[in-house]
Amino acid sequence: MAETDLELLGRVATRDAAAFEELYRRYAAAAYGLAVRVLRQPAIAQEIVQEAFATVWNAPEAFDPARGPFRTFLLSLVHHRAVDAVRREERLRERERRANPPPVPDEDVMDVVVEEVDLADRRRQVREAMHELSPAQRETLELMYFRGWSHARIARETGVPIGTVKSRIWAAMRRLREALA
Amino acid sequence: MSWDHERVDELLAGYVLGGLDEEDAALAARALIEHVPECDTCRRSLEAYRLVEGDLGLAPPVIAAPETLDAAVRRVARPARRPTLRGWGVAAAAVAAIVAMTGWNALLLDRVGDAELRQEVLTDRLATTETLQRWLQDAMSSATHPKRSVVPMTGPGKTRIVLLYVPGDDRGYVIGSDLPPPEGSYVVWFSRDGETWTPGKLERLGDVALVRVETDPESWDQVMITEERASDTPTPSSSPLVVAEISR
Repeated sequence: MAETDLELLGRVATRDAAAFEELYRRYAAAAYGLAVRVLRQPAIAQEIVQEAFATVWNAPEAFDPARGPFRTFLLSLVHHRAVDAVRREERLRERERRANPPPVPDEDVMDVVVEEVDLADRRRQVREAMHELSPAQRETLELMYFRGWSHARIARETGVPIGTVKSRIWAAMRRLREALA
Repeated sequence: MSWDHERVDELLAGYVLGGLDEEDAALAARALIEHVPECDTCRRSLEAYRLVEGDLGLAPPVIAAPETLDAAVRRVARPARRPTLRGWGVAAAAVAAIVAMTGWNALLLDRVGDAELRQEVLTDRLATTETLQRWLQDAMSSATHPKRSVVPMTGPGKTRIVLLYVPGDDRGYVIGSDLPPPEGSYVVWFSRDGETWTPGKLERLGDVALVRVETDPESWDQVMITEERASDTPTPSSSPLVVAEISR
């Protein structure tokens, strides 16, 4: 029977490289997919995923199992780093924004990735929960989560009043909280 | 300040997504220090929103990691080699580090002409920022622990500082918000029976300032903060700005 993530992390804490590589094998495709989705630049996405796994290796105690599964901890780590990077990148490139960003890898690539069954199940639940949001809620949430835009920036870029933006984010998060509980 | 659960809930939803603007972010930081640790409702909300934020990462399509990433991550776990950041990663992380440290501990990089020294400064700042981020993550974890202990430290003005720990752990955090820039550094001290010990100075990270306390806080009688101009001061050289008794 396969070891649980928690068991693997226990071994990572004792500097067991094989356990670390098994965790990487389980979550690399999900983490990389998320980083590419946010950053849209595969080279930078690789740096971000590498840094996130380095954090797991160097500070496995940062994960608290009482606060949820390892996947949410890891993907949150990747998301925060990716959003920070995309914001920095935007500032650095403000004067020379590229007209045509590099293409995001096609979704067909997912065909070559075999996921653990429970991870694939959860992925389906998340997508269904997202689908249940109103289009306005989903679009607003995606702008914040995947593009790293703040309330004010979403309001500015979309022309929607900031109070409405805040309401949509809050409503979306509440609905997802209930759907994914 | 009294807190409205609905308002805090809305702030927490934006907080976990990293989408709050400056004013709301400052308010959320205060709520996380002053209200959430003591409010079961808001603490549960925060935990639930964190799970949502992590799970949203499953929404995009999975993409097979390239071999270069596989190799880079494998190198992380080789104990004989120290992981390094290169290229864009160093530049971006260094920018973040400098931004995060701007203020009390700002070092004007343009005064550092030598490229090698400049790189060392950036690397040091990056390491410090990563440490502070780990501290803040651990502190927030302590703040939502069911057995947490929160010791408010009273001080002048809007200053809000608490000693936060889980009894039985040999660590804790002194964490505060709305601290005005000091003349030198804010140094934390623990005392008992005329003996004093310091975990060091408060380090700023965004809207909060904190220091990790590597001791069992309940083995001390008092915690206090002084403003020190000199570094490595062995004992407090001025009257405490804030102070609190530690009950067991």
